[in-house]
Amino acid sequence: MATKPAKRNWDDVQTAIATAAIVTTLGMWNLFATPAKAEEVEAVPTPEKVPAQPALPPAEPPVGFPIDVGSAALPKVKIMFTQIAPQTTTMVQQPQQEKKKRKKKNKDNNSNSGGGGGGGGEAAAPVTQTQSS
Amino acid sequence: MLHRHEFRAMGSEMLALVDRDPTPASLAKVPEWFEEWEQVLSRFRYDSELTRLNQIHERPVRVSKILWDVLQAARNAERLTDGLVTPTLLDAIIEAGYDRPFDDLPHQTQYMADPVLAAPQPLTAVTVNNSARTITLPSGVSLDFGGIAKGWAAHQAVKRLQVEGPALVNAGGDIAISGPRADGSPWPIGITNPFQRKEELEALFLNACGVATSGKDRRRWTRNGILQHHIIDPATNQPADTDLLTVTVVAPDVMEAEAAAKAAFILGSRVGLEWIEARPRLAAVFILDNGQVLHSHKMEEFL
Repeated sequence: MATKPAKRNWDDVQTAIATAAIVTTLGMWNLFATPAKAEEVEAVPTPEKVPAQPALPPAEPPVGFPIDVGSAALPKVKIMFTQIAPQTTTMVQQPQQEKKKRKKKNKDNNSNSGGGGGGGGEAAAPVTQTQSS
Repeated sequence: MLHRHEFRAMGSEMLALVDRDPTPASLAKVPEWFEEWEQVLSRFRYDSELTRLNQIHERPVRVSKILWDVLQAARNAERLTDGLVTPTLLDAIIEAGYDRPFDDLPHQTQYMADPVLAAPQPLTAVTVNNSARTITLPSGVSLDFGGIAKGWAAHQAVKRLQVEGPALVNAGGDIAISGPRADGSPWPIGITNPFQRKEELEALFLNACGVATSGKDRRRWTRNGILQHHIIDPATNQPADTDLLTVTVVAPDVMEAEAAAKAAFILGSRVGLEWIEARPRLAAVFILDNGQVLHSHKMEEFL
């Protein structure tokens, strides 16, 4: 009769330890896992066009060069589309948005430089294209 | 007012533009000029001057002013590119399968024996006599001016047209520009998106200069199941193995732009970009196989 209350107490201790372990695990999970996820999400959608590497000294005469493209990091780039499954909306939209900005910039440059003025919207439309010859 | 004349020559679409009123008389003559040049410089015409020259080895041959001038342009290109761009790779390009005009080329050929080619010789192996204007081809060397001829032709055409007004000539993608347009503004030039040819990827705003694009996105075919293209790497004597799809270069003239674009294409994205950056006269846009787009620093001036 006297041992029963003691057994119930041991069960309570076990329950308390298990609860504390679960609470600690969840707490740690929230503490460390959540911020990392947030960083990932923030990092993905900001591809930024960055000019290529700074000017480097002249290359050695390139005949017979071993071309080792993979050994050094490429400059930062904007990824505009993929070859395997082109994201047509991304491909088309991004250059066109940039183009508009550039046209505007160019038009401003023209007027600042005292060029003939004129031109307007027509001047920004490409008159021809360069492609692999 | 922009006057334009479009025609086909040298296996490519050509465009001549002059920005003035009234329509300049010389604009209609541009196709005749190209026909004359093609008859001298084409390797696909059995009766062209170049074809005849390629059949004579170890003997001096007096050549026309046109062929002589293009040879000088080719020598400049070889110097500029440290030998990466040379017209002495005709055997290699034929062995790769490009043995007829591209429009007539079967897009797939099978069961061709692997080529056995001698190492290519540089253009310096060709003996030239400046005063007599003769060329002596050593045994085993034949010439193919390819893009150099197209760039030279665009350059010549613009030189003739600019007498009448601001001019632009686009020879299959190699573009020569005489100077600003009549109103002082630059010429807007698109770079074709190699993944979607009807789109343009970038717009450049250019004055007196040349712009050219080299790449493996158009002139390519399959030989024994392996993809081939027309830009030969002299180090391997085979189509260049590169991570680049196209390279567009802006340079002081179109011949330099053409040579530089080809050299950078052969070198690949990393070394090619270093090579461009080391030459302040050049600006470039690289489009990689994986769709990435790289700009050299100087290219920002033209965007």
